[in-house]
Amino acid sequence: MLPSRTLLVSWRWNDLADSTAGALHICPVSYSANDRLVRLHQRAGRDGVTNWLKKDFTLNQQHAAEYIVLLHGSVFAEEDAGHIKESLAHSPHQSDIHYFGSGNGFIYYTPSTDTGFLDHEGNFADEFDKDIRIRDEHGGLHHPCFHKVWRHYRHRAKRKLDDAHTFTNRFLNPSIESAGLSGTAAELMRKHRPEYLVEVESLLNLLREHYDDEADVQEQVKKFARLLSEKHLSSGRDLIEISEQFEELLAAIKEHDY
Amino acid sequence: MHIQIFSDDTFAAAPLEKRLRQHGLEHSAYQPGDAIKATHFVLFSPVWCNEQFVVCDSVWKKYFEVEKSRAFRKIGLVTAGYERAKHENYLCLLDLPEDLPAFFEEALPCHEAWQPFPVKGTDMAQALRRFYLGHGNESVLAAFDSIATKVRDIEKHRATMPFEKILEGENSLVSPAKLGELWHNFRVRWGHYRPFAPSLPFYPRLAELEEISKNMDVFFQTGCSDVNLFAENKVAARTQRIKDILEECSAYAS
Repeated sequence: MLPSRTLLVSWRWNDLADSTAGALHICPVSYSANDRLVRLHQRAGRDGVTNWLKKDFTLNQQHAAEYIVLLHGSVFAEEDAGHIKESLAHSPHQSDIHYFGSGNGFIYYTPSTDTGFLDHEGNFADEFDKDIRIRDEHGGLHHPCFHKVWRHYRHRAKRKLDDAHTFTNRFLNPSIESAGLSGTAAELMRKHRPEYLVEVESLLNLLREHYDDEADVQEQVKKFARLLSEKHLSSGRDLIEISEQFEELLAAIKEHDY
Repeated sequence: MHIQIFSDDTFAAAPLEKRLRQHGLEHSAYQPGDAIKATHFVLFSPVWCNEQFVVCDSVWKKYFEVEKSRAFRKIGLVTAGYERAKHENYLCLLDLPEDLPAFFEEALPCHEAWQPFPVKGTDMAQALRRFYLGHGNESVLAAFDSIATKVRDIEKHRATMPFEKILEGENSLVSPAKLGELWHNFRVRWGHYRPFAPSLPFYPRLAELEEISKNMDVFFQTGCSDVNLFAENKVAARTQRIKDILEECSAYAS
């Protein structure tokens, strides 16, 4: 059985700001009983987030469960994530905690990629724009909408790949141009910086596993893997083809991460 | 011509340094906080800072552009990275120009109107704007001004009024709880941006801001009601200094 997925978003939810029912609302996900969006008003603070997680961990301790917590950066301090993690250190489950708003805003609705589900004012994106389709007639979040946000924050695939791109260039270019090494990218990394190769290969595996519904991503992964192990490098210019293939792969992942 | 190179990875800078030596071009490494004494400044972009790649190219350009020093405005800012770009002020490290001296001669100075080649990474120009303007909140200058005004009131009256009277009671000038809360909010907001400071050209001023703030935390975090802590920690003068730094640096955020 797949683990349940809980996405907790602590933010200035307008409809929960003065709600007599409390600062919390659990939003179901269409056709996916395993998933849910927990909306917690930011006034609950880090203690509110911690207490809710503790309680839910206890209720779910017999089941496999994954949690992602998104905190808005204007209200939650840099140390809050660490504090929440520490408070939950001996719990049966773990949670990834990220900030949004002061950097990574993938959770905000973006028309060009049709991803995300928040507007910038404290509401679901479809609250005032009825052309946006993110919830069903019962108020449940559409599954693709939830899944893409979950996948993005869970894996940060595009950001990690982008970082790997720069790190490998920073290693390979001087290795060839200054240190006089030659070979395929995979050979050079395996011999001199094996941790880079492990990182790149694990990212490719992540894309194979979690982006298996995206044909373009799979196609670019294959091309890229082939270049890494077959393209012989003896000058910085030889790296250009690999670098361009990195870009093709990045472009195939329809996410924005900055 | 003197070229200063800011790269957070010395190994990555090696091929460029080798080529500069081959051409007899004078160059030196820049570390955050160093004095700038160059005709040309090479910024390896993005910069690895706070566990992520950040892009601060346009902040550096703005800094050189608006600083009072005329020499700064003439600096040829060159960003360097692995993008395949044709741009007067961008060096593709995978394919360096054959005639490097000519490339640097032709690099546009900062006072001219041009945009750095766009590079992927956390956009520090945008982050700075968000820090200053807020994200649905009031600007940081307005928020800090509320602190500075209250601190000025304390300073103005503390020679003639008992400290308790300034702070407490119906006729108090300042609510200690409110002042503590304002300070906490400022520290939370600054705390998200502080780790990126070393990537920025005005890092020494931001480091000073952090140092001063830390020195004053003890007053604000203990109820804002201890006259000795107020005096010993020079809260009035230091608050004014933070206000000045925030205002000075806002020029680079537009």
